Amino acid sequence: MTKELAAALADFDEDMLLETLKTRLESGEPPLSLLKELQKGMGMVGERYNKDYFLSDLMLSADLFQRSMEILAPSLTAQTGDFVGRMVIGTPKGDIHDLGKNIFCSLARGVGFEVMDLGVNVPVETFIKAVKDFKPHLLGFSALLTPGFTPMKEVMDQLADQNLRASLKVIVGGGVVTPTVKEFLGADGFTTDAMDGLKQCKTFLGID
Amino acid sequence: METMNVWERFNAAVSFSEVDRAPVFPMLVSGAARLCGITQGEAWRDHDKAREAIIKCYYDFGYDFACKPNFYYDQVPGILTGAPVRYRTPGKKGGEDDLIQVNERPLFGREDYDKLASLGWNAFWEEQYEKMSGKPFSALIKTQEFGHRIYSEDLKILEDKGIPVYLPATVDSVLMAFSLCRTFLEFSKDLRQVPDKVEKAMQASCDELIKNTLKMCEINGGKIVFIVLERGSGAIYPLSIFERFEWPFLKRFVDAFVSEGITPWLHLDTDWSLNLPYFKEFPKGKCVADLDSTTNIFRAKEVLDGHVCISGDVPASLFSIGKPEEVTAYCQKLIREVGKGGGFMLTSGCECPVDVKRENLMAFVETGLYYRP
Repeated sequence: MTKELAAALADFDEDMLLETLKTRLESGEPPLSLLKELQKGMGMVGERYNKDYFLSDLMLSADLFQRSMEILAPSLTAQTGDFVGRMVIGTPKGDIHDLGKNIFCSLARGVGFEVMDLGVNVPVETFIKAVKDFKPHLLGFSALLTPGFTPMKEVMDQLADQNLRASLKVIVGGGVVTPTVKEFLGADGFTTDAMDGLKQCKTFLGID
Repeated sequence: METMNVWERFNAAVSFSEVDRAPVFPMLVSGAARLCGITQGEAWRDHDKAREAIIKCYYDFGYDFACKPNFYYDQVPGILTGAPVRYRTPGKKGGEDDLIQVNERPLFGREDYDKLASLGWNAFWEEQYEKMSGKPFSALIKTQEFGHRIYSEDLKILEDKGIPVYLPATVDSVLMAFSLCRTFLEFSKDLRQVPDKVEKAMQASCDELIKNTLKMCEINGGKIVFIVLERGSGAIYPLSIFERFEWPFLKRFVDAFVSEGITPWLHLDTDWSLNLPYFKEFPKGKCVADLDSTTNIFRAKEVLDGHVCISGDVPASLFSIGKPEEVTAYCQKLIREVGKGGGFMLTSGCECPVDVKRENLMAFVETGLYYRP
C-alpha cells in the first residue's frame, strides 16, 4: 500500500518515502508536483514542531528532505521552480558547526526558498561575492561560536560600503545568538530556533 | 567581608547553607590564551605557556577557581570516560587561532550495538578503536595516560601556588557519549529505528563509565565530576526519550558519585526547562545544575530552589560584545534573584568565550566579589 509522499516524510517513513518517490518519478510523474508534495510534508513537520516534534525531528526531516532532493534534483534541473525567494546562508570563518544551518536550509527549501548554502568556515569575501552573484532577498548567518561575530560584522560593513545592504534582509541564528548580537551586527532578525527563523524569513518577504 | 575560603563557600552553595557571598568563577580556558596574547595554536603546542596563561588570568582577575589547569583533549584527561572523538586542533587541522572543535563522524556503526551490549564499554573499545581510527587501542590508552600524568603535574603546580581547581574529572552522560559516537543525526535515527538495541548497549556501558570516572577522581583527588549533558534536553528530544535513554543513567551517575562524596556538576547546554522537574529526585543539596543561558535560569530557580544548586549563566555574547555595565547589571540580577536564599554560583554560561573582553570579565568578577543586594 502506498502512502502519500508528504505523510511519509512527516512520519519519517524513510523506506516508503524514498521508494515511492523513485517509483513515481520513473513512472513519469512531473518532478515539480513531487517536489510540491515533499514541501507539503515539510510544512506538516513545521506544524507538528513545538507540539509533538522536537529539534531532533527537524533534523531527521531535514535529512529526509535532502535525500529526497538528491533523487529529484537531476529531473528538476531543466524546470524553473517557482521559488518564493532567494537566500544565501553560511557559517562564518572560524566555526565548523553546521547542524542548525543544515536543518534551516532544508526547512527553507521545503517551503520553496532557493537557497545557496555556502557551508562552514566561510570567509567574508565569499559571503560578499555570493550576495553580488546570487542577488538574494535574504542573507543568513549561522553561528555557534562567538568568534563568528567579528567576520559577520565585517560582512555587514562591506555590504553597506558596497550599497548591497538596503536590498537585503539579514538574519542571524545559532546557540550563542541574542538581541545583543542582532544589535551588534545591525541585522534584521535573530533566532536560536530554526523554525522560528524560517517564520521570520517568510514574514520579511510577506509570505504567509 | 569574606569569612569563608573558596572550598567552604563552594560546598555551602551546593548544600544551600549560608554563604558570605556566592562563588564567582568563569570557565576560562581558550579565553585565557587570547587574554595573554597567545594564539590557540600556540597554547596547544606549548603546554607551559598555556598553563601560565591560566595562572596569570587567575591572578589578574581574582576569581575563586581556575576551572582546569591547562588545555587538554577532552575536558580533563580520563580513561574512557566518554566518546573517543577526533578533534580539529588549532594550528593543525584548524586555523592557528581557531577554537578546538570536535570533528564529528561515526565511531561505530548501528551493527555494533549488539557487540557493545555484550562486551560493555571498555572491552568494546579495545576491539573497536583500531577499526575506527587505524591506530592500536594501546595508543589511545597511552595518550590518555599521558594526559592524566600531565594533568596531575599541572594540578600540582597550581596547587603549590594556592590556586584551587574545580574540575578533576569529566564524563559524558551515556546519551551524550552515544550521540557523539554515532553522530547526532545517526543516533537520532537509531533511537527511532532500533531503540531496544541502543538501550541494551547503554545498560552495558553505564556502570563502566561510572567506574572509569571514579578512578579519575581517585587519581586526581578531586571531589567534583563534570557531567557533559548537551544532547538529551527537552529542546532536542521528547520526554519519552529522556525518560528512557538519559534520565535512568543520569540518576545512576548521580547516585554513584554522591555516595562517594563527590559533587555531580551537571553541565547542561541547550534548554533543559522541560527536564528540570526530574532533577528534584536527586539527593537534596548535593548537585549543581550548570546552565548555559539557553535554559531560563530564573525559572530554573523556581523549580530547583532548595534542592539543586544552580550555576550560570552569563551569556557568551555578553562577555564577547556586551558592555561592562551590561555585564554588571546582568550579574547583579542573577545574584539578587537566583542567589536569593543561597544555592547559587555566578559563572559563565558554558565556556567563557575566547574573545571575552578584559573589561567584561573584570565586571563579572567584581560584581561577584563585591555586590551585595
